[in-house]
Amino acid sequence: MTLFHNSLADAPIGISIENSPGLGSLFLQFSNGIVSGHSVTGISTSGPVTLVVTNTLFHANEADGVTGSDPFFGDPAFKSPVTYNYHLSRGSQAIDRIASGLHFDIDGDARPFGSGTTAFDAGADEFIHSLFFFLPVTVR
Amino acid sequence: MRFISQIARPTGRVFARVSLILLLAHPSSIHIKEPMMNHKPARFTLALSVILTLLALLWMPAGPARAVSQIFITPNGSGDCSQASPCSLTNGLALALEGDTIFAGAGVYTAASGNEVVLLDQPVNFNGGWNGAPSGGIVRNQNAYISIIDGQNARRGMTINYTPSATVYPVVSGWTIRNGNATGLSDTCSVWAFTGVGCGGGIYINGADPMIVSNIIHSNNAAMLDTGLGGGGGIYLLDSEGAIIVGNEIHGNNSNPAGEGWGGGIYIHNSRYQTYVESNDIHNNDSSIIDEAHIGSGIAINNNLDGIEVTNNQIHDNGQASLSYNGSAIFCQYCSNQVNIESNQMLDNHGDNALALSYSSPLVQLNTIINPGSNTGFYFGSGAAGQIINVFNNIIARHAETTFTVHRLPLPIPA
Repeated sequence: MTLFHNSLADAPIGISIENSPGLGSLFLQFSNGIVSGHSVTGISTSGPVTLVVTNTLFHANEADGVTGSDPFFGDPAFKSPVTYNYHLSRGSQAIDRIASGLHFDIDGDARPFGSGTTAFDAGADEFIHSLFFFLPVTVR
Repeated sequence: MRFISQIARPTGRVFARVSLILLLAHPSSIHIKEPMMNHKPARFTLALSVILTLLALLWMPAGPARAVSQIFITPNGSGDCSQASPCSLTNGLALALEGDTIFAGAGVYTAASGNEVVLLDQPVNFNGGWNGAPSGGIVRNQNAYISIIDGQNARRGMTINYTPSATVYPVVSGWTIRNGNATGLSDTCSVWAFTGVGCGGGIYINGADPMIVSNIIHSNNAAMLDTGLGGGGGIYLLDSEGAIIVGNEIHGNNSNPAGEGWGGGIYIHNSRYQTYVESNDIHNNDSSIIDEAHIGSGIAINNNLDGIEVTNNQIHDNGQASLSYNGSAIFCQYCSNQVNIESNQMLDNHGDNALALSYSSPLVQLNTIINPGSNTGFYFGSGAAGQIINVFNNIIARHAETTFTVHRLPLPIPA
């Protein structure tokens, strides 16, 4: 089971994986995601589970749980969770953090937007910077 | 996801079907997407849709030898089924042959007997919303001239069971279908692994390939019995030969308000050919308050044999706040990797979980799953090892207990 670029937020538990002994191993990869705002645990497992977590942003979880390799931490700055808008806003710590990933986001926008060696954003949304500069009005 | 290059039937009508989907779907959300990393979706434009439609028209195979007819009906019609003198629903259906088109004027169409109000046992186009003008061009506006099929809680709204044609691909559009009740219609009514006690309160489709486009399907019940399973309150689809369900509003339907049921809005069982469920507004289904197992209050899929595209749908406010409601937005069981659940908005559904997969390996991507009234956003239950699912670019948030659960046991589905 592969989960790439998913934004998980605002519940008691982010990911809960339970596997009963005797059913064989269970494999799950969670990469390039966001796990934020979980009041109990970010990622937890029980039973025979092989869990690979990479390049994931953790924020404001009571306990992050399994953070895996190359985790990073900081506010994803979702635009407006109250109105169900979990797109990234300017200043998000999910922006430009990952070297490789899916080449499209939840809106169909191309990834990565930006440049550099870690140009991919974590989570489902790729933050698109405005191409316009808003200059202050000058008084003649 | 639209595997345009992979659709099996290389005829013009395939392109027509795909073009229709592209035209009806929101242009900004149309794209081809490939379920692999490092593949970029190509956006289609409305202009491309138009081009595809025109190509389809050019490539259409020759029509049937008999000239197709236009048949006009009104609720109180008693004429010869011409535009100037419409006939009744019963007479219009009796007159229609393969490839014909029925235009229905405004009003309420009912039946005094039988299992359904409308039986489409031949591939004919069946359109509501005709303005009733006795001459001139045919004008349709389903909002201004409301054509209603009313089951009066006594029978099903519509049965579609024609044998698919090589040349005709019928459309059912512009109707309001309400108050259907399929209780006791258990013949060819498969729900999960059992014979149901009623299937398809609004529309029942068996082995056919219609396009169900721009209808309002509401307040229908598949079954109202506590002795078995109901399936498909709004639409029931059995052995689909490539049906397309696009641009409909499907609301207030129940799979079984007296017992257990699957698919309050839509139930799909044994799809064959690519089946599309796209750009529908599916809401407030399975909303009757009964604490018995309800599976897939928005959409339930079981045992697909070919691909199913569930894309760009608004699926909201389905189910009830009860642990008995699983997959209150979408439930998928025995769904292969040819099933794509993509770009859907699953919001404010109620139950134990909103999106649930069991023994399944579909592609799940680009969905927004936010349901504060559900315990879990995305539940994956399986008793078998080695199942692979790909879950890409989803937002899953604001659930009462868990955002994403993997539980290596089957869901508590009804016995």
